[in-house]
Amino acid sequence: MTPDADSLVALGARSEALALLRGSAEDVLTREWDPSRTRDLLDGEGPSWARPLWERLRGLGWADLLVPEAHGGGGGTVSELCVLAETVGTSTAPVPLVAVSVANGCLARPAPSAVPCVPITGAPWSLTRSAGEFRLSGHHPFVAYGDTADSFVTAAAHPDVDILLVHVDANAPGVTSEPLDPLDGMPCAAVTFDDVNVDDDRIVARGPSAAGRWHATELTSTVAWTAELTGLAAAANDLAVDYAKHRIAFGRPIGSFQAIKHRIVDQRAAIEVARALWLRAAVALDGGAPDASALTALAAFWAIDQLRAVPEGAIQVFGGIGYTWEHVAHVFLRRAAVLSALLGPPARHREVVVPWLLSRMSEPRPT
Amino acid sequence: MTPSNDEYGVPLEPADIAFRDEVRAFLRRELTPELSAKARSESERIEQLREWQLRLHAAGLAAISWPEEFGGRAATVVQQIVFSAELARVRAPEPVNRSAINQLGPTIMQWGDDAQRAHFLPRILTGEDVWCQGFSEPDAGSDLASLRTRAEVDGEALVVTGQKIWTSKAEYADWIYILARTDPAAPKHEGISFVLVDLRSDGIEIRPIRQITGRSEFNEVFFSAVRIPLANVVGRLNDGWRVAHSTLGYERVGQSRTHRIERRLDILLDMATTPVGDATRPVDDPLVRHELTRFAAQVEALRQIAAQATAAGVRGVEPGPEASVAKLLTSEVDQAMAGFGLDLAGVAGTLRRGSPGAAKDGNVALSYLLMRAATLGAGTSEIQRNLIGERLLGLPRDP
Repeated sequence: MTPDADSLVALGARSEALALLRGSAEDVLTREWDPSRTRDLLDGEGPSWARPLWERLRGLGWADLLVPEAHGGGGGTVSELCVLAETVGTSTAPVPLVAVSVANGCLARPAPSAVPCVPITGAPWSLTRSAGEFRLSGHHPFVAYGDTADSFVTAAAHPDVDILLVHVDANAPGVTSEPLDPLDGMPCAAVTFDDVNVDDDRIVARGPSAAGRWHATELTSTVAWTAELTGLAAAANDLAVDYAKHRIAFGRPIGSFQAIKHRIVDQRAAIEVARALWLRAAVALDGGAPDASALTALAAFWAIDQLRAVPEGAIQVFGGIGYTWEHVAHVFLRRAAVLSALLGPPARHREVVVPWLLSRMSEPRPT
Repeated sequence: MTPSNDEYGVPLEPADIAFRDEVRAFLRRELTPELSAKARSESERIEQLREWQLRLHAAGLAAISWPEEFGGRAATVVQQIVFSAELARVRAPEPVNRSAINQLGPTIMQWGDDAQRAHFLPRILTGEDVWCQGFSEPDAGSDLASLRTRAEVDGEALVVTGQKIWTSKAEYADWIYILARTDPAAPKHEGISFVLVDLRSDGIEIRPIRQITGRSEFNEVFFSAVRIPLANVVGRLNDGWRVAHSTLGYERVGQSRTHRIERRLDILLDMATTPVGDATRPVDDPLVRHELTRFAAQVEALRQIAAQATAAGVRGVEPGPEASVAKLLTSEVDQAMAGFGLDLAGVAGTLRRGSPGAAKDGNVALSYLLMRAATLGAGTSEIQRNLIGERLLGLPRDP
């Protein structure tokens, strides 16, 4: 009945629990934030992110959601993080929820500061070992919230240890963090490690356990950013819906014209597909299902393929007013462009999905 | 699949387990080889389906979701899921009167009078009256309320004149339920009545429609001054639009709505991995992989959305907004995949069944034609978009 080894009852109960969480998260964010404040931040100097808002959300435990309860965290699930990320997207709040909570979850310790650590995923590090000491080199061109982070968590391969999961201070010798200026003002950085010494106390885990932990971290990061992008797209589309109800042209609300109405409906359909996909991926991750990587790749592929276009379509609905700095439409356009790029090239996700599709061909289909 | 308490994704109460065992025993006993054998002709197939419905009815399984007072057994959502799953597992056929059981029966229960309930409901259950639906007209498809078939009151009778189109099963059905205009002066949604018509009445002519596939699965039904007892109006005279709305709203629970698109994706994957002339496989082309991933995303999302809708049904709550985009997306992706089949197969995809070299024995070409209907039937995609825009998003109505 269900696509995965999941019962209808569990699915129904989870949907209800997540809907409650979404409701209370939305309450907080609509009280604390709205897209015009994101636009106002873009007017300021330097990177634009909402540190005071993030401190309040941190106070609510959002940053430590994935940290096990035994380690002082919230003991939450990836699905729950995705719901929070979606509401962050909806509000356009510029906060490092995904980066920080994924890093804290990986390190399994609550956040001691605002941005104690962010993950650096997909970096082609070179890890060398001499006289028993590991040294890390390499460059990552775009680390989300890297410009505000106190430290980084990342992983590198070495023949002696398989995978080494390391925690590197941003001000450690050999670490350079060059501030970037992306479209949405996110405080990102290009991070270079130049022969950085990895002391034993900077090694979080090694071997197969490190590999599994890091893989889960990368997938969680991808699926949570996908959820944030979904919320962002949904909010942009909702604004377009609202505008289409009230803007009069040729004597009628423009939303009565099929050219407008059908565009908005198609965008909504793409959003519903995206939400169903990240939810499945998140549940697979929570359950440790073998399909988790393929489902995550599928969700990310669809989001990149379809959701960046939603704020574009919203601006088409707004018409000229959507091209002004004053209107908030460009806040969504900017953030969606950055989040889509952050998710990586669609081809990378595609090359995870297709082998999975082909491998399923030989299996009997569940009824 | 081994019997367990968890095989349908829902926990079973003792009564559900007893029901499951009853259904299984029924299927072992009654789904005999002559019923599942491939029919040699359309009339033989109809006879099989009639016989199948009789057996279902004799076991009290023809309309399990109906209330007991009308011959059903008031099955719970869980039991409906069990029932659908068990029948699907052994590939049991549909009863001949499936659409009347799912749609007309509940309509008569809700809107009909006692005499109509007493007469028609048992005959739907036995298949004694096989029904077809006469809503669409040549000039009233998407804009159904502009229908022009007239029904004039003449004493205790209605005199029906007009034409219906896209009527499936009319060639063997006994009765047809139609929408006809009973008050031409009223605004277009208000002068319509819901009428039950005996297809053996004088003045009815049925002509098959030849579709773009060359097959005939639909008909035109012509009415010239057909006299129908006034007692055959369901609901009040001129209130048929509301009655029809509920007819179209009844939907069966527990059925896999995504089976067809899952199957089509599998076929595309099979074609994509089959080497073509120069021994390359289509799937080695990144553009092919890209398109397959795009289809898979939609198919997998629709499976999730269908499961969520069923889960909502089990909990007795309304399905979420995602359910309202499912029909649109399913039609669109089904049609797009059939088109992609043609891309994958190249010229071989254009070859008809029986032709040398025809891809998938001509099914690629046939599906391409057939799938034009996916975005037309049961509400065109444009009408679906209007409905989603107006009902879900609250956008202003199309004039």
